[in-house]
Amino acid sequence: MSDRKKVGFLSGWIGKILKYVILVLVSVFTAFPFVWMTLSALKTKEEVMSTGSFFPATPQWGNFVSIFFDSPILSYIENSMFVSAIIVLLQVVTGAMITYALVFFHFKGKNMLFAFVMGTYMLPVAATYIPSYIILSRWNMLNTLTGLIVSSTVSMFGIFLLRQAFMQVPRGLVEAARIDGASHFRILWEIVCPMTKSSFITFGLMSFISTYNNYMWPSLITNDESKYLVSQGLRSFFIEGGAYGTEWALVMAASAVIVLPLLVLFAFTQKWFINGIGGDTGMKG
Amino acid sequence: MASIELKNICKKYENGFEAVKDFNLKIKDNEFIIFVGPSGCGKSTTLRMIAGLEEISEGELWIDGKKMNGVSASDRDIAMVFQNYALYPHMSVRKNIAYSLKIRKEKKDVIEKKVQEAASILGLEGVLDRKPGQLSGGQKQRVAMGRAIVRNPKVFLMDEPLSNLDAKLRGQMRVEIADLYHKLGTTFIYVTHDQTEAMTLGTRIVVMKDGVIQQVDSPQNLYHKPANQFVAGFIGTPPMNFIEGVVNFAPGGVFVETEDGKVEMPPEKAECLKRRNLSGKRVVLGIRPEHIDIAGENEMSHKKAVIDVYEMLGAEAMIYLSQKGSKEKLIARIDGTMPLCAGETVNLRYNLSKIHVFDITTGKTITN
Repeated sequence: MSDRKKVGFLSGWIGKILKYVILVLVSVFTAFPFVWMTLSALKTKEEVMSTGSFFPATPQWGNFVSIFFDSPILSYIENSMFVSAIIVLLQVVTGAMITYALVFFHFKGKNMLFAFVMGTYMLPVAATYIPSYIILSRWNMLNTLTGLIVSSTVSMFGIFLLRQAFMQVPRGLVEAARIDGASHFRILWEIVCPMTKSSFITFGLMSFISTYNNYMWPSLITNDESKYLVSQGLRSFFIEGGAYGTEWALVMAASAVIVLPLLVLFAFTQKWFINGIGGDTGMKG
Repeated sequence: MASIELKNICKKYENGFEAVKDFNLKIKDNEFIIFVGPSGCGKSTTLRMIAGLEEISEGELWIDGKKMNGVSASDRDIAMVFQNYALYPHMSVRKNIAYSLKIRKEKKDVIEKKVQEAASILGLEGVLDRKPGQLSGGQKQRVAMGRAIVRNPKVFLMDEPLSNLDAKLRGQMRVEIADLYHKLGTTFIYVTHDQTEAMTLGTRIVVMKDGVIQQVDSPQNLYHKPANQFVAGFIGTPPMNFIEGVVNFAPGGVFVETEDGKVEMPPEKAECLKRRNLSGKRVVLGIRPEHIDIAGENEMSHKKAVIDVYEMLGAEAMIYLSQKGSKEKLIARIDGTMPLCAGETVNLRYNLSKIHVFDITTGKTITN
């Protein structure tokens, strides 16, 4: 009896230590690029490239001052934030409405429609660049933020994600709301949406991050510097545009600043990430 | 308050399954109609068609003189209580009850007043600020009813509202629903598979089987004058006993000859059998457990049987009887003071004026 206890006690401790070791390794591995970026942002140009020192000899706070005052980074961030916010809003509204119809309406060809939506999702993004480019050019929307927004109105991934959540909402609740006199639009926003809040937040956040960081598509359709999003701006101003070679310290400082809004956003929405459908309807689902 | 008319209503699904077939019913103002039947008989589907949650495949639905086919559920002015309550989990009890009023843009003070009234009728005053997850089954049920009564609807639909509650609570809520019906004076349509609920609540009962109406009648008539063998067997606990036999027009009267002997038909039933000229035809006799008595040693009896099980219920007792060599089993409801026990052999006498005769092929009542 006592022997068995001892073994359990030992293996418990070993297991625990092992878990911590793995967690620490993964954390270091994940956080290292970020730490390295932040430290490099405080170094001089020469220090960044030298392998001898990990920490800056004297923190170069001036790097941050310089990117704020001598570069259009604030305009890039503003563009990115604006475009991302509008796109998130549009994708959430369109995605929720399509998903509501796909889950709660009865109509012929519903499964076909969903298969079509999923098929579009499977398509490599690059394959859509040319047709999208042609459409935008016909609508005279090339080189505009509007074009960027219009081309991302609907997210197939969002429909897929929201569908999984909506299917967990008991159909009886939607029926009860119909009987109560609510329109479908009202049921979507007042009954279904609050019950699937975490999926909406997850989707919104993912959509925001992907638009905010998007590089390829914006660089294809915009060539005016005032329309650049952050990734484009970072590349064109700090990497391509450096007259005396790339200013890596400034690139790092700019990157650190660019990431900041995303970190803040994540901190605020984190608690919703893992939550499923909450509450008790009394329904079996 | 509203009158409802269902004309030749059918429900066919895409896979060809017919859930409801040619359903005709006129419901008058202020009636308490019960749809009852075994699972899958189409009762809930019919209710959902009235609510507008299910499309009507064929036929017409009229509420208060207006044709309702194609009218959206939200525009029918109907309230419904669901089997699983369907409370909005993210809203407090108060908001759940007030939701329909908010949609209709009622004034805040009017909403508050109505919610308070409903809460006091249903005894929910103390839990108005709780979420549904914090309520017991009975309380959830009351909230679901509260949500329906605040609207003062034309028609009140209930889809097996008590089936998720335990037996004691079910009995209590049944009384409350009856009370509510008298207070509200609205048309009620209530779906259940529980015949006690059907018999105690309904002013008229619609018995359904396989999507077809079997009988529409008052609880008394369903029990005493069933239209067919299905209704006779479905209504009443324990169910009616059925005994097969052959009709025989003898000089001394009309008899039905069963395995155990002759059962003489009382004059009016004999007349019915004669009129239909059923001599020599097989029929099914139906007799309710309370219409079987224990006969004394020297008294006339119809059958001798052994008591398999004796169930003492207090004032009365149920005896389950069988006979050697016969598959037929009978149930009799007798006086609880009778000193009987399992294994005993008893003589049974049928109360002939209460006997029913059914057609063996169609199941229809011959002698009502």
